[in-house]
Order: sequence, then C-alpha cells, then structure tokens
Amino acid sequence: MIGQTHWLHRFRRRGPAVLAAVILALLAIIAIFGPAVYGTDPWSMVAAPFLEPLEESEYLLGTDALGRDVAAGLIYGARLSLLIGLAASCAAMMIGVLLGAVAGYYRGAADDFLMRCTETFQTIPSFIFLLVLVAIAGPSTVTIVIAIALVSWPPIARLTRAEFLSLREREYVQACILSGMGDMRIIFLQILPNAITPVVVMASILVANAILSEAALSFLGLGDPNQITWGTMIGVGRESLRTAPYLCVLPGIAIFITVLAINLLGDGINDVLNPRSSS
Amino acid sequence: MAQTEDMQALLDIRNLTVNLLRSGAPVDVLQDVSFSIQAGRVVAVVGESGCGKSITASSIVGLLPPSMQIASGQISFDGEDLVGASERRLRQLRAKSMAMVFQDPMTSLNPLMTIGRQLQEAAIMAFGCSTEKADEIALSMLQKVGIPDAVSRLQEYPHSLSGGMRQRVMIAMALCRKPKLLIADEPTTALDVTIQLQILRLLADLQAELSLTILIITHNLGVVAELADDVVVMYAGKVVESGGVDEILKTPKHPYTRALLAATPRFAIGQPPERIAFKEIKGTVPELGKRGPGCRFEARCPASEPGCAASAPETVRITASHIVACRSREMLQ
Amino acid sequence: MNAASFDPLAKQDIGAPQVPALDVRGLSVDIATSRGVLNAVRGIDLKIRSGETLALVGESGCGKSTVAKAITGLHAVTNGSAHICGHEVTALSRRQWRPLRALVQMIFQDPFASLNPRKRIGSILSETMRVNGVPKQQAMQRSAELLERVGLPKTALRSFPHEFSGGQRQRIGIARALALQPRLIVCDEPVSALDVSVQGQIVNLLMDLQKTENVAYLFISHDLSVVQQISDQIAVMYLGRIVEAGSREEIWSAPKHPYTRALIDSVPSLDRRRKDLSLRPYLAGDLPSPYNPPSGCAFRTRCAKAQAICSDIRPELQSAGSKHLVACHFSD
Repeated sequence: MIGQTHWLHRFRRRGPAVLAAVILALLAIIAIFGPAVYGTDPWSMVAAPFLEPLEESEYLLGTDALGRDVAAGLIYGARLSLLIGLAASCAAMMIGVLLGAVAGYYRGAADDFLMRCTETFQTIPSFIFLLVLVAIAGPSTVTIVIAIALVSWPPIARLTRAEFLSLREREYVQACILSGMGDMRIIFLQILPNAITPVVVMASILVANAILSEAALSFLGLGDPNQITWGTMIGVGRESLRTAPYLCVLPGIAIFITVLAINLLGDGINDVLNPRSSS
Repeated sequence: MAQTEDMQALLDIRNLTVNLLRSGAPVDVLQDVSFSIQAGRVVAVVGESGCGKSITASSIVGLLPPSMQIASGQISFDGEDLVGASERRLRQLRAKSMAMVFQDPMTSLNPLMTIGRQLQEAAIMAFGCSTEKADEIALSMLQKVGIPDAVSRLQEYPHSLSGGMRQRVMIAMALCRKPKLLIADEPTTALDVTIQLQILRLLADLQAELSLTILIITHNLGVVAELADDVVVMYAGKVVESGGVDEILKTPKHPYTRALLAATPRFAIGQPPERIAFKEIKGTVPELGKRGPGCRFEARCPASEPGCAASAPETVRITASHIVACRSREMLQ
Repeated sequence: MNAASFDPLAKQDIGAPQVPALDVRGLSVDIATSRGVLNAVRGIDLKIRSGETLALVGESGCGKSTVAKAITGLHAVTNGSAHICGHEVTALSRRQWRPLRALVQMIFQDPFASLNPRKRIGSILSETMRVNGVPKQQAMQRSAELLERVGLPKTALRSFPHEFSGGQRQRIGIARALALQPRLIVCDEPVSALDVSVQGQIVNLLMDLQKTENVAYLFISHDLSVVQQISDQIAVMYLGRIVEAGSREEIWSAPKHPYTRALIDSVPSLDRRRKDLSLRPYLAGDLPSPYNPPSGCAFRTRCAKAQAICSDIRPELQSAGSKHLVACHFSD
C-alpha cells in the first residue's frame, strides 16, 4: 500500500505554489495590519505633489497629484482589493456550485431550466452587465461585490454540473442511494468533495478576475468613492500618465503580482487536493 | 522455444531488467526476463495483474512510461537491437513491423475520425503508398477481419460499433501494416465470452492464413490454451516457467503455474459441477519495493522450503523448451 | 459476527423463511433514450428463495443490469411487480424505500468506481450504518468486524480506496453490502473486472458469507463458468427476455436452449488447442439492436437451428423438466 503523504508535505514540494502562498500571506498581513502600522492616511495631503519614488525617504513610493502618499494608498488598497476579490468569488462559487450541483444531480427538467438561466447570464457581455448593475445599484463596496458575483457564477455552475453529470453515474453514488442516504447528503458530502477540485481552481482564478473587474470599475470612476483601491489609484493616476507614470505602474504591479500569485496558488491547490497525486 | 535454438528467433529478449525510477533507490519492475519468439508462432505471456506482462510489451515497442527505464538486457527484433535504437527507428518499427492491439478498443481509436480514415492512415504510415492504394488495403483488411458490410463501415465512427467490432477494427488496423509481430495486450478481457471466442477464432484464422507471429498477453489460462504454441508464465516481474503449451498446461512444474491452473474453472456440458469452493491462490502479488532477494512466490507457495526466501532459485531446463525457476526438487520431478 | 450489538432489521418484518427473498413477476422496464424507447426488460419472472443464489446470465446489453437496477429502486419499473421478502418495491418513492433499504444491497462490477475515492474505508463502511440510525461508535466497531469478515485487516479502516488492489476493493464493496445485514444482495458482475485467480477468491468469499449470513444472491454474470459453483438456480437472458431457466444441475447437465449451449461452449477451455478453434461451434455476430429486435424468436438471427417458424412465432417459456423452463421451438 502506498502511504498517504500529508497534504502539507505534498504542497511543500511545489516551489511556485509555495512562493505564491508566501506572497499572498504577506499581502494579507499588509491588508489586515498595514493601515494600523503604517499610520499615514491615504486621503490626506501630506507632502508636495508628484514626489517621485525614492526622492524623499519619508515617502518612499512618492506622492500623487494632490500630494497624497502612494505607499499608504497601496496598503489601504490591498485591504479592499483583496476583500472584494475574495468576497465576490466566494459568493459566485456558492451560487455556481449550488445551481450546478442541483442541475447535474437531478438532470431532466431542473437541469434544463437552470442551464437556460445560466446561458442567459453568459450571453450578456459580462463587463457591460457589471457596469449596468453597479450604475443601477449605486457604487458601494457591497453592491460591487454582489454585482461581480452575479456576472461570474455561470462558468462555475457549468463546470460543477459537468462534474456532477459524470460523477453521479459512478457506482459509489448508487451504493449511497441504496444505503438510504438523502439527496442533499449525497450531493454535498459524497459527490461534491470529488467535484470540487477543478471548481476550487477555477474559483481561485475568479478571485484574480474579481480584483481586475473591481480595478476596471474604479478606473472608470464607478468604484466606491469612499474607499481607496488599486483600481482607483490607477484611475486617478491616468491623468498624469505621461508626467508621473509610476502612479499607474505601482498599483498595476500590485495587481499583477496578486493575480499571478493567486493563479499559481490555484495550481498548487489542484495538486494538493488530489489524493492520488502523492507520488 | 519449442523449436531448435540455432534457428534465429524473430524476437529475442535476454535478461531484461526494467527499473521504476523514484525517490530513493530504483525498484525493478522486471528482473532478468528472457524469452524468445520464433517467427510464425503464438506466444502467450500469462500472469496476474502486477506481474509485469504489460510492461514487457511496452519495453518491446519502446513505449515505457517516463518513470521507467531499461536498466540492462537486450531485446533483439529480427536481428536488430531495440534497447539502443533511436526514438525515430522505434517509431518506424511501430508503424511497420510491430503492431499492437489493446484491451480497450474505445480508447485506442480516435473518436473523431471514421474507421476508413484511421485504417488508411495506418497503411500510409507503413508503406507510404497513395491514398487510393491505402483505401484498398483498408477495405480488404476490414473484410479479412470479418466485419460484415465493410464498405459502408468505412464511413462510420468508432462509437457506432459494438465492443467486438471495435476490436476487429483494431486488428484490421494492425494488419494494414503487414506487421512481422502482432502484440495483443489482453485483447478479449473487456468482451463477453461469446465475442471473446469470435476474436480468438479470428486471431487463429489470421495466424494460419498469414502465418502471423503473435505475442498475446492475458491472465486467462483458457485463452492461453486455445491460442498459444508457447507460454511464458510471469510472476512479480520474473519469468517463473516457460515452455510449449502442453508442457505448461499438462505437466506444469512451478507451484505458481499449478496454482493458476487449479484456480481456472473447469467444466463440461453434461457434468454439473460440484458445489465446492474454487481453488484459490491465497494472498496477492508482492508490491514493488517489497520484493525480497529470494523466490518472489515464496510467501504464497504451498511447497516453499527453508532457503526459498533467502536466494532466488536457479533456472532449470527440463526439456529443450521447458524451463522452470524453482528450487523444489519435488516439484521438478 | 456479533449480531446482537446491531440490528437495523429489528423493526421490520422480514417474513417467514418460506417467503422468497425475491419474487419478480412480469417485470418490464422501458428506457426513454434519445433514439427512442428501449424495451430493456420484457416481462420476466424470477424467484429466489431465502439464502439461495440465482445466477442471471447473458451478454452485455441483454438487460440483466437493468433488472438489478429495477429491483433495487435505481430505475423505474414500467410494468410488473417485485417483492423483496414479501414487500412490494416497484412503485416506491425514495422516502418509502428508506425503511426497506436494509433488505437489499448491491455489489458492483467496477471496484474502482464503486468506492468514493475521497473517503476512508472506515467512513465508507460506517456511513451506510449511520444513515440507518446506528450510533457512530457502534458503526465503527462493526466496520472493523466487517473488514475482518471479508479477510482484510482492521488497519484498512484508515486507508483510502486507491491503496488497495481490485480484489481487495471488491472485498470492501462486499463488506459495505453486508453492513445492514440484508436478506438479498444483488451482485452485478462482481468478478468480471478481476483476474481469474482473484475471481475464485471473491466467489469463495461470497459462498462462505452466504452460509453464515443466510443471505440470498442475485448473481449477474456474462460467464456461466464463473457461476457454476455459486448458483442454485440459473436464468439465461437474451434481449430482455428469459430464454431458459432451471436448477444448476438441470442447466449444466442438459442445456435446452441453443443460446445457453453457446454460452457454455464459448468459455475458453484448458483442454482445447488452436487447431480446435476453427472447428468449434460459435456464436456469430453481435446482440441485435434492442431498439429494433428481430420478429419472433429474438435469437433466431444467430441461431444454427432457426427455421421459418422462428421468425413468425415467438416461443413461450415452457416446462422442460421439473423446474426447467425453456423458450425454443426446437429445444434439445
């Protein structure tokens, strides 16, 4: 018998995923504790405008057109960007997994109805749909999260359904039915753990997409006006792109690193969640 | 094997050892496997799952999984060394001289291509002939393997065929290459007994007509009896006994061969079998990495003696063709 | 086995010993597919006495697995009735089935698909009992007993399915089927995915368990030689209908239907050689399409004895011995 290696041990053998996890952990620490530690308010004008990075030791990453500290913006922005990314993809995953699981397990009429709904959502261009939703509901953090979730669940639902369609034919599912198990128990405790791996990987990419969507919304001025995010910073910096490119580049790099790390972590999770990939 | 040694064999495997590369020391999957196949004969490699029969076939055609490697030994095919052959040469040989038929024909056929296209492709790869000529070969091979209404079948896709028909198509595809050696890896295991018999008949007819050389891999001694001239019995990566089909089935010498024979159900119409337990072989094949230096069947062997676990048994030649690796004198008598 | 500690059947009437474990009458199953309605099972009768084995034999596609699904409630029944230990089960909802689940369990063909790859063996076995109201501690204890009963070490409780060989997994599947102490186990080709040497182990285990647990088997197989020891009764199925049925002795000593004979003749034998192959009688062709079955006797397209009458009139099952039934105009 092949010994079951501990999941942490298996994860450790994947260099890029470990690096990604470390980066994301750092980002999370910055997002949680950064604002309290760093102290400087990202909204207040603390120095001369357009200080370039490294020009003055107190404001290492420079200041923007109004003399606000870029470093403070990045730190506060991390909090909201990550929060929106996580919350939106969690919500999207819950909607998608629930609908996909029900459609794939019950098939027939339930499947037809739910899949037509999914297709309806998928045929609307998602970013335009997102703009419309935020424009109607008004830009606030909560509405942005809900709107991003509403446009991103359909691929999750389709993937979950496809997994369920094939898994529910497995003989172990029949054995569960024969033992008298209820449908919900079979769906969530028996089939879902086998179906979840690709879904989790896709959801981790959704986090990255949600961060990008939020950045795009903020860039267009539809972000939450009371909150600073990386997208808002790029949006504001756009006007002085020629004279002070670092105002766009720095938050851009932050988004790039985060999105890349999330994707790498997704791959790592994929390997770890599969108990047979131990060799 | 059953023929004189000086005649050159079509396939000759000498002391083949294949290792599984993994962290720590490499583990042998095959150890010192030797047997040869004379042209025009049917040789069966038989044993339980995990005994290395499929790995032997993969070594011959040069398609070992990346985690495995030939550590030592020779494979010579038609006078040519295969162990040191280039990937390009092996590919040529696979296209032309050695054809393989697998257990599951559904995964071996391309679901998006018609039967005709796949057969045509095989013929073109083997002979570099024109498409017209290849189509001709395809049709004649499809007829040869007994597919009714072959002309219209050429236009069909694999999914519209039954399991037995797919296996016939696989055999036709192999024959399109006019191979010197046909390797059939459990070709009937996934089929119903009725269809299994059809495929066995087909292989026997083709063998007689084309004097094909066939290496068949199976766990079913009944299939061995019905088809083979020579038999190689493998256990846990080693050859434990080999010889002519009657020598192996009628006068088996190795305890493992005897146990396999005893476990095979015997029956005949007119004789209701007694309601008694099958003679089973207790236990399982030892896993990779847990195989000791001695005889690998020792733990399950009814005739094991002191010393069996300590060192591997010598290979004993009983007749010109019959070879057995067992130290028990009692067994060898 | 310690039956006193666990008895989900206590509340149920399992009937007197003379009540058959399975009594199927006129069972028909139609399956709606994209190619039209498939009459997978066409009016079959089966009866298994308590503690006995009925082997249901036929080629793939003959409808034998559909019978298994129909009587276990995994597939809807179109017509006819099925009683398990006296309980009618053909028209039950999932909820109505629940109290009867302990009566009938199943062993599956594919030992790799029949165990949830994400669950440890302990939870695969104990879940079945937990769902039926057995406390956790007791369920785990009985799981360990079950493993020992099927010849696996207790330590296997903590392992995952991928750590076992096909034969070992099939043992785990058997342990799961036994967990609720069923009166009937449907074995759907339980050994056809295994090596011949392991097939013997599994059949022996099933025979052994039948003696101690007094469980009845519906044993489905395409290979008559596999069921030669374990069966009490044999029913041979062709294209949705039973073509021959009788006791093991009757079928083996004198098979009456040409199809039964062909099934037996098809099994490779240690006593035959290649030169015999081309002389041997064999069954040509495939099972005809069940969407468009031949008129009259469905077997006539592959039958050496077929005459004009075979395409006009479908032979009914008729008595050919004490309990021997055969559906053929020209039975031996």
